[in-house]
Amino acid sequence: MYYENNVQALQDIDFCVTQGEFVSIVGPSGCGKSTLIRIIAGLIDNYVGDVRVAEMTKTDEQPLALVFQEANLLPWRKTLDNVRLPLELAEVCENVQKEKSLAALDIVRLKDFAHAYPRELSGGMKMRVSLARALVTKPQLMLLDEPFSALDEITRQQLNEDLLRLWQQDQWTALFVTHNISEAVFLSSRIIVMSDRPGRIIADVAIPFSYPRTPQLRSSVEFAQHVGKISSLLREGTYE
Amino acid sequence: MNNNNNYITVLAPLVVFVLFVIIWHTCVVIFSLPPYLVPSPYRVFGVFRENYAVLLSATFLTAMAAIGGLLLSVVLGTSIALLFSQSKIIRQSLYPYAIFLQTVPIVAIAPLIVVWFGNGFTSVIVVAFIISLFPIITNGTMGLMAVKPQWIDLFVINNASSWQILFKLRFPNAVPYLLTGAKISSGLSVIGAIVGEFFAGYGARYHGLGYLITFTSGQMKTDYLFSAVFMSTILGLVFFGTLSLISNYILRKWE
Repeated sequence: MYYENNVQALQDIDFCVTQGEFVSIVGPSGCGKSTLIRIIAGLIDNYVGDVRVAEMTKTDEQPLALVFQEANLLPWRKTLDNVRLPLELAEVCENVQKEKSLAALDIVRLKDFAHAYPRELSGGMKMRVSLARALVTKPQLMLLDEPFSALDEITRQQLNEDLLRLWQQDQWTALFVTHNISEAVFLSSRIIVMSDRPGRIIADVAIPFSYPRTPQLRSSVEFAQHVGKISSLLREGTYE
Repeated sequence: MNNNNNYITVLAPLVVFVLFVIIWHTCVVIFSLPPYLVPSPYRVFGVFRENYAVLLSATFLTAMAAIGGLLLSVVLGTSIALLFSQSKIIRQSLYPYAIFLQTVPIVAIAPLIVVWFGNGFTSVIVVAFIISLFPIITNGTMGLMAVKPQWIDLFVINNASSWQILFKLRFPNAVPYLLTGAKISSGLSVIGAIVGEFFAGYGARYHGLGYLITFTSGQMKTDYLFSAVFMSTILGLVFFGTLSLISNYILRKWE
């Protein structure tokens, strides 16, 4: 995979994610993490290689959804209408659209804000709306491209816990890009560590903590050890 | 606080207006200016009282022509902008001709329009339309193009058709831009209608403001001319004000 200016972005990327896993990809800025996500999402097609997303089981399910770095809501649409958008584009009948969107807003605990405009919501709430919009199509694979990077630490931790709860509820597969190591350790069952440009996979680390994970996990010694391990792997990959 | 501010926005321009009329009157008296050069405000008001029926009906006709031109330009301008947003090659090949609309002196082509559309209402509407078209096209095109790339990604991921991208993303995004264009065009459409009426009339019994302006200046009825100009100004203001209200109302969703 090359950028327009012929800089190679990614090289020898080969990995497999099993259904129901929560996999994070960490790496230094500019290592091609977002590019990788965009390739899997089908937004980039000038790459060499092969991407396969599991074949569908049920017809009413979308293969994948993408959560962006910003909440990426349309400012002229109310919360409910933003969540409804994927169903509206798929021309699902209106009653079903409304029903499913309200259900999606309910699981991110924002049903009361269904008729608010995005400008009336806080950053964390906007991100939850964005999650609801991704979940409304019941995707099998959820791609998350540094979704909480613009939020403050407290909101980020809160949303990490929310995200795990939703993941356990609905059993989708998650591929989560971040450059925040403790976030990755807290969320993931597996972490893929990437090197500096051109991005390569330098480690594939299993995180053994069992789910459901509680906020207390963050202050345990084992947690700190895993964060330390990933950090040193990252450092090696960056300065080798 | 807010109420206070509202007061000032209405009151301050009124105070300026009263002061202006007083200074105007004083100048006419002190320098004893002849009424055919600068009539006193009192005289202008007198003319207005005598001829208010003619002036009001002229204002009404000019307003109708301007509204016709403005509506046409909003509908056609938006359609052209939608067309422009579809491909770079269309924009590149047609944009110079859109600029032509802006640069051609309207006074120079107005007689030609009268030749083509006849000496009547239609020609006046066409002149108002031509002069107010350009801001709608440019603003509309800009709004249709100024869409965040992540929004496009969102639509593409959800398998949106290009039709859906146009009407569920680009068009709503362009609405504030189109309204700004319409605000600019609202004033221009009044100018266009008056210029149109310099060349085309509505028959022997009905006149627009443009006709009154040429007629009264030809007769050196400067006081009458003043009241016609005054009505034109009011008309332009009302147009702009109405468009601003409409646009604020619609934009509550966007801002």
